[in-house]
Amino acid sequence: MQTAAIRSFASSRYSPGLSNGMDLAYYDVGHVVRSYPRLGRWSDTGFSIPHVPLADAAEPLDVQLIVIMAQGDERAASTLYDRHGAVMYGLALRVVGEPADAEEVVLDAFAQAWRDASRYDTSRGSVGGWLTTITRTRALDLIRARGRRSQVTETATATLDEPAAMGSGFTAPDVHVLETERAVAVKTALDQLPVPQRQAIELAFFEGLTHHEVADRLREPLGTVKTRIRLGMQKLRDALSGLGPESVS
Amino acid sequence: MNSMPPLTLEQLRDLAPSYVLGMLDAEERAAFERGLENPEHAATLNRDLDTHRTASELMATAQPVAPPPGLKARLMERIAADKRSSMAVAPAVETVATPVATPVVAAMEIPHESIPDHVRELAMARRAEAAAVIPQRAETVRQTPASRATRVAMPPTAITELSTRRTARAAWWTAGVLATALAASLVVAVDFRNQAKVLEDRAAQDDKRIAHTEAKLAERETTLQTLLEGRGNVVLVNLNPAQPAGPGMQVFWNVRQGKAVVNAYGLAPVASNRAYMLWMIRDGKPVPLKLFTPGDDGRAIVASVELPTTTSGITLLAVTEESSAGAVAPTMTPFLVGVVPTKGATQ
Repeated sequence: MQTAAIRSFASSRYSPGLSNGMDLAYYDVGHVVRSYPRLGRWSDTGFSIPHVPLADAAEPLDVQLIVIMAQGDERAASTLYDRHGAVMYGLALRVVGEPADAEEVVLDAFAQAWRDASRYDTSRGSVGGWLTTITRTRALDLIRARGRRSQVTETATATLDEPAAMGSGFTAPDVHVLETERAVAVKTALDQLPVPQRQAIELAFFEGLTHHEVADRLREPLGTVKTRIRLGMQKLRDALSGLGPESVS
Repeated sequence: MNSMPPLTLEQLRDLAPSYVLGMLDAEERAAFERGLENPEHAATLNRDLDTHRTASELMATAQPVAPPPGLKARLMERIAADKRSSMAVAPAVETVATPVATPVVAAMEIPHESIPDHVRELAMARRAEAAAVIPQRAETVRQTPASRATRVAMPPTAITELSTRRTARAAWWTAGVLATALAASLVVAVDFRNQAKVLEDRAAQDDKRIAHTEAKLAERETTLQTLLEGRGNVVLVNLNPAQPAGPGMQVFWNVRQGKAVVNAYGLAPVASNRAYMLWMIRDGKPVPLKLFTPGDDGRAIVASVELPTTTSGITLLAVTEESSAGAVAPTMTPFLVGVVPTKGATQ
């Protein structure tokens, strides 16, 4: 009954124009988040997401999975991992460079998500965004703790004249990069940025460098770096505006 | 810590992408977050932040990679272990109602992920201690004729006065042993919890101390960098150099990066709602640069003062005392003034 209610809620309000269940799930999440941008923690509000038994729900929403996971259901964690594990692992790999390290990062990040599921804050964006934020933080912690930078940016700064080395991203040997539609779109948007802007953004994002550190690394004045970041992020935002969080898979 | 003057909406919007990427230093971040609290700016800024956040989250998805096949199994194992240990903590209260020796050990299981290693080691040690004590008592309990298993197995024969008394005595004795075991296990459990709490508190304090030290170090690093990275382009401005005891100030201006380090000394203390303010006189007009307050020793070292990347048009640096909220124009005649050298670097 509960499940049917959710399905009809989903299909009556949000499903037009969507082709499959997975899209529906993300589309819904995006709209829930966007409709209540200052919702805060789900647990602090009157807004509750019904608990759907996993066996009954064809494609539970990410947000529902988080709620179920917060109640200690490993199956929700398993489904979330199936959906987001590749993005988390790809991101971790890009930051830390070594597959073994990247595995540890994903394990730590997901274990943290498992423990913190009840504190998930819908006002801060999609579940996918939350998971990648945790992953990035864990990965940056690791490279900081080890005092070494990731291979991607070493490659990047060593080959300033070779845009392809940046745009295509670093790929460790023996890994299977998934060419999803969205990944291609994001990569294309990054490739379209002027090389200096992309460099500055990637050093910040994948190495966690501050303005000063980026300026030092690139041997450029601070003001120049700040401008590059600002312009680059604005362009990236405009280029990616068609890809909302609801299409994150 | 000294704070930057309030930022305009335009400045805040320029900083929004860097804020999302986590690129701002502590001072800039604080200034940005103060701007976010301004109701006039909040709506625009939050909209900007949302869109930049979405872009940066998408950037994280640029290269999904199939995780190694064994990773999911390891994750599920870890989650199951986490779940087991957090469930083991929950029944700690029930132990009181069920005087059985074994659950005490289980009650001392703690969530592996949420506490530091040394606490976990303590838990292991405590568990070993408890295990060494409890089995002896458990054995005593099992041998008692009044234990439930024995009673159930007893045939319903005639009961003599003697055996009744013996049974009663044994029952009291058993109850005593059980109560002792329960009390002992509770003491161990409570003691362990207290110890864990103390250690956790201590770890939290250590973390705070380390964070403080790291922040200090980072500040020193910034100071050093500002001084060293200017290479040939560091301009030294001396304010009130005639009195070595102070009050006075040195401004080391890294023109190459547009950053300066300020070393002020011999300053009188200021009231809590007042602060000193550094100004530059550019094209004859005062421009506010930095609010700061001296320590008890009358000194203030301020890193990361933003200055232009050229000295052109800037003739003087000056210091006044202002409200701690800052000022857009000086409200008094500067009591410290220094001339900006017209060309080249000084020592």
